[in-house]
Amino acid sequence: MNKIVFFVVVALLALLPVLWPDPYMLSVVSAAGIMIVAAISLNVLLGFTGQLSLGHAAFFGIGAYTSALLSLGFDVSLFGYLLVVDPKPVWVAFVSGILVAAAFGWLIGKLAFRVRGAYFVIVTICFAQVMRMVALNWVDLTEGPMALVSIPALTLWIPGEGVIKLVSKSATYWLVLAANVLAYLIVARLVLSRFGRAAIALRENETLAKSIGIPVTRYLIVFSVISAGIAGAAGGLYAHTVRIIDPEVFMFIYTITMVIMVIAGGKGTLAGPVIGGIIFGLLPELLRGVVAPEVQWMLYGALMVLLLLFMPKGIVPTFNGLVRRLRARLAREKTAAAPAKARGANA
Amino acid sequence: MLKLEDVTVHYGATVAVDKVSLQVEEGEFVTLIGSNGAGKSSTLRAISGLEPVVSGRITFEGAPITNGKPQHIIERGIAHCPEGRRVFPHLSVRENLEMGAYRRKDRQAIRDDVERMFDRFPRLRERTAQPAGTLSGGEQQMLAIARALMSRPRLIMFDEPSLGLAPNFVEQVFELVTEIRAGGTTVLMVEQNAYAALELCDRSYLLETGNVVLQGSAQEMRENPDIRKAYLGG
Repeated sequence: MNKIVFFVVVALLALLPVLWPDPYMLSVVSAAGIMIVAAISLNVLLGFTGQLSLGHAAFFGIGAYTSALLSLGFDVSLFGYLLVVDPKPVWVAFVSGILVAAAFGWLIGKLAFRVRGAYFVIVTICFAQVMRMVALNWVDLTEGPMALVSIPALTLWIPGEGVIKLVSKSATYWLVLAANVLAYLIVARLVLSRFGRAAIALRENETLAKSIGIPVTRYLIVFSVISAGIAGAAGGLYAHTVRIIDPEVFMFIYTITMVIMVIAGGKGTLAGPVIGGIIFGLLPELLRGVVAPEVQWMLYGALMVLLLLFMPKGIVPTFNGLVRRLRARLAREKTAAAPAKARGANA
Repeated sequence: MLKLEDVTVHYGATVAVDKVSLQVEEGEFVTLIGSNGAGKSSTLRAISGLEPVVSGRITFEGAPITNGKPQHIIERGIAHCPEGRRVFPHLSVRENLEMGAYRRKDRQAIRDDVERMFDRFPRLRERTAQPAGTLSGGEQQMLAIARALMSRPRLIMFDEPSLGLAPNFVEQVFELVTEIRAGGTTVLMVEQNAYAALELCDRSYLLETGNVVLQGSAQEMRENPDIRKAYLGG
């Protein structure tokens, strides 16, 4: 049932560029889609292990910069040696971006999971700020505020057509959609595995999880690596579709956007970050012509407060709860109606 | 079977357990009694590797397990039923049971054991798919005990299993502990209710501010005038 819904939704989304080939709309949706991948990655940590990373933009930025730099090639002098890296094929660069982000996820997990709660949050914030400073000031490597420009687009080999560059609006849209589907499936697979259940157990009661033999810290690090890797993929996607990046990608506001998407949609659910991401990813564009940007931020604030007030668990869990209650009521009414009917037949 | 020699555990800056030595023989039912903050829970936590041991030695069946990782200690056959929140509230009853066998690899045997637990606790079978958080306090404790059994322990440690339960459930829990012991599993139980503990066990240790101040058979302890005065109400 759920699988069928999933396929239908994906198929409908895939048809969007055909049904409504408006380039502006497609680019807006693609931009939101990239943030949704990032939100999915944050949900791996925040939703399933309960650890709030407020430095998630760092993994996004690391993925973006690694992928962009490797595809452009760079030279940098390190301790007196000149390191020259030739441009790599764009997919090699993209995968490297994921791997490097995941490696940082391991490092941060290793360091930060010595502590929990507020301390963990602070370590992750600091990490993102440090990465932003590096991107801003290591001009030799990153061009600093001058930004990395002319980043090549991702390519695809199509039988009969050869290798094409994914530059058109619809191609970008499909690429982002594919990334979302992939990220969603990976997280779904993870959560339904032994690993996922252990993560939920440690989120609910860490001491109890330890006492039944779950190596808690090791699992947190594994989740950190996976989360950072997916965030890195989102960053790479951003770099190769927007095709220009600057140190702004490390900005705190991006992390906050991801957190809002996850919390509004429902942390710890698979669909939560997607629903939250669609709302908070598209809202800025929908409101653009209507109200001034300053007013927009106030409106998000108000919306966020309302959501937390009326749906503290997020949209998806609230909706699921409603459906469950409705079904229960229907079932009750059915059983209440059945004896009445039986009596009617006897009479 | 289990032996602690001069085990010391710190809790922050304070000494929670101060050079405690105790011993549990195979098949025995031993209790640790004493008031709040006497170091009973910390002792259990040190045994199962949840709390670091500052000095001293812990051995299980002759092998040293001092400061072992919890997952390795449970694999050796020690299960720990901690106090406080006892189950994973958002996991189903069945999932909670399966989590108890987390370190085991024998999938078929795990499935059989889950069935056996359901045979033993019919109330849990009725609630297989229900989130454990929706069970009553007593049912949660049943589930917690069943989960601890899922690791097929040779030594099972209970921390205040009766705490916060309705009187009829307290009785049930103690009955269950006695049954488990009768089935050949060694039991080490922390209990504030000294009266109940000394009714059930073979031997007991009295802890006060991190020290073993008294030990003996259940009968000796019951008849000790100091214990009668301080813990059994005269």
